[in-house]
Amino acid sequence: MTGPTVTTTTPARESSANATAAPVTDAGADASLARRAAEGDVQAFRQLVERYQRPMAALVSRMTDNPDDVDDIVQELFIRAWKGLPRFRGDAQFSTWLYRIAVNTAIKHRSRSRNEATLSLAAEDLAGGLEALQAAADAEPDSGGDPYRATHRREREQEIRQAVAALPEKQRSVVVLHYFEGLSCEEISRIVGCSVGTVWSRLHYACKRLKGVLDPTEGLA
Amino acid sequence: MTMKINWKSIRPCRRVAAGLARYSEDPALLGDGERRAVEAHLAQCPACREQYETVRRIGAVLRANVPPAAEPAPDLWSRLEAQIQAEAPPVAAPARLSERPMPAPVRRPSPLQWPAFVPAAALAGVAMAGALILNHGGGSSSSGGSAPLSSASDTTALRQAGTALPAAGLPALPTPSAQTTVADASALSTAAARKSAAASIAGEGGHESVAGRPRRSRRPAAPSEASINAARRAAQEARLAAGLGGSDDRENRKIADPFRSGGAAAAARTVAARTPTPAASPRATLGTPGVAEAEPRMLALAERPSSPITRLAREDGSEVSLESTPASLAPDAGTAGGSVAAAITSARPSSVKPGPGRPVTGAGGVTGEEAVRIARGGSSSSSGGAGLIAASVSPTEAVSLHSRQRNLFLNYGSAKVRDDGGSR
Repeated sequence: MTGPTVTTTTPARESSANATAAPVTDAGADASLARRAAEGDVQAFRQLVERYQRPMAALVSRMTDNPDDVDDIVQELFIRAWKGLPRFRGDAQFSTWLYRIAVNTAIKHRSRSRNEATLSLAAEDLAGGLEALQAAADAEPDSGGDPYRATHRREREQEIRQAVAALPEKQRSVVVLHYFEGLSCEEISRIVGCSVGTVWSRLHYACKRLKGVLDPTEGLA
Repeated sequence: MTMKINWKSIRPCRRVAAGLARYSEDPALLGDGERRAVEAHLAQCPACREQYETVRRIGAVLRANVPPAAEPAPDLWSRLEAQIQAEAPPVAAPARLSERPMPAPVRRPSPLQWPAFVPAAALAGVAMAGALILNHGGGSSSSGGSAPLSSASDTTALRQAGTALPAAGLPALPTPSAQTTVADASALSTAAARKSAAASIAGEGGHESVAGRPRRSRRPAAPSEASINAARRAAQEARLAAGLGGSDDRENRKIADPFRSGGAAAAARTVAARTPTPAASPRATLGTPGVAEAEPRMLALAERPSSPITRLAREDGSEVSLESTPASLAPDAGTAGGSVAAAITSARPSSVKPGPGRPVTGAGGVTGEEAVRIARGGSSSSSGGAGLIAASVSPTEAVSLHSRQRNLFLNYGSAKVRDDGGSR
């Protein structure tokens, strides 16, 4: 089941082809399902899970350092949602509420495992050699079969991922939600629980930090 | 070198920050006026312009290199369902969550469910009758031949229940007058109910001394793990019996924790407060032995229904009060409430001056007959009089008598618990 797509299309979302479509449209159906789930209807909760599992997995995978943790975190966040549904008052949209749980769960998990593994970007991803180049080319259909281009792209993504991962928690959350998940500053402000101006401020400071790491002129458009 | 901050130049930047955020997403998101204001500010503020340019440039890089997203695990739902089932409380959980019918979020039972509480009310009545025997039966209680109950077995059962009461450490009570007999129990509920209730009480009294020898200290020791678990089970059972359905293991853990919130007494309060009971009938939950086990016995003195105050006299002489909505203890003769009222026993000598419309403010050395009369309204009337119910009951039972009243304010010692109608 594919989740509903975003209604308002912004240039940001148009430009980020890989950004996950945030399911924010069918708020009425979400609210109805959430209400039933809060009363113990497991099937209603299942529909919510099916509706949101993809964007949640995407968000979590971009917020966590270890890809192996994604499944556990997604499971944990949905369990949290299930337990918290009786307290969900419906003041905010269900998607906003769920995104907040996801961000908090990812942050909590990250801080928990911070001492266990530092930037556990899989070593095999960074492995060099012709095999890696070929694998990269195979995995990147848009690279035109150019293994060097594909490898460069992967390295670039890796670089960005590391740079974003090194950001302070609040700035990282905002960056991931805005640039990777395609959420607007307005939506992020509701998820994070701050003003739009604060979101903008965090974006600015995050970009300022990233500016020192990333050279925009090398960005692959 | 100190840097002087020009606040006048910063404030406009702060004001325009939200607009700048939207402008960076899409200028069309702004109205004409706001867009012009943002553009004008960008034109004159190099700091904001630099900020805007940085966010725009770095943002373009980030958007162009979005890390690939992970796909959700194909077995996500099966794992979630398994975990939901595993974490469901074992007692109250239905067989399978997936088969669980959608529960209605009903906190209070419908009137059709009320008859389920009548036996509990009968239990309360018999408990008080036991107290009557305790106070007035004295040495003659062994035979039971003089008791004008419907059967000897009833008398025996009641006396068994009564003999369990002093074991709880109640103070020695004054010698009753001869007229105070279990004849007053004629208003009790059916003999069958009495029998079952007495048996139940006798069973509950298992933790006490049936022979009348106190086995517990006045202040109970910290309950063992077994008693805590028993309290948890009792809480679950109380919830189930109350038709609440479901379960809240965390809550049961909390209320069964003797070291939190007053321990077992708090458990009694919480269980009672969450136990729906119909209005205008006495509430008694005697089926919570795990909770009652660790509680000191106390005397429950219920004033007339029109009074919102009910005092509970502790065995040590202190008093606590229950404040509830009226009619939580309507001693309506002919009903289970009347049964309770008829089972009045004298508690201790004091000056009690009951009368129609006049609340009783203290424990009374009233006889059973007087009590019945009081409960019925001073004379033969069944309304308008002051009602007194003085019985030896546990806090669980006493509090249960008042439970499930909306906006129930329960004062127990210094603690004040508000139950706003069963909302969770």
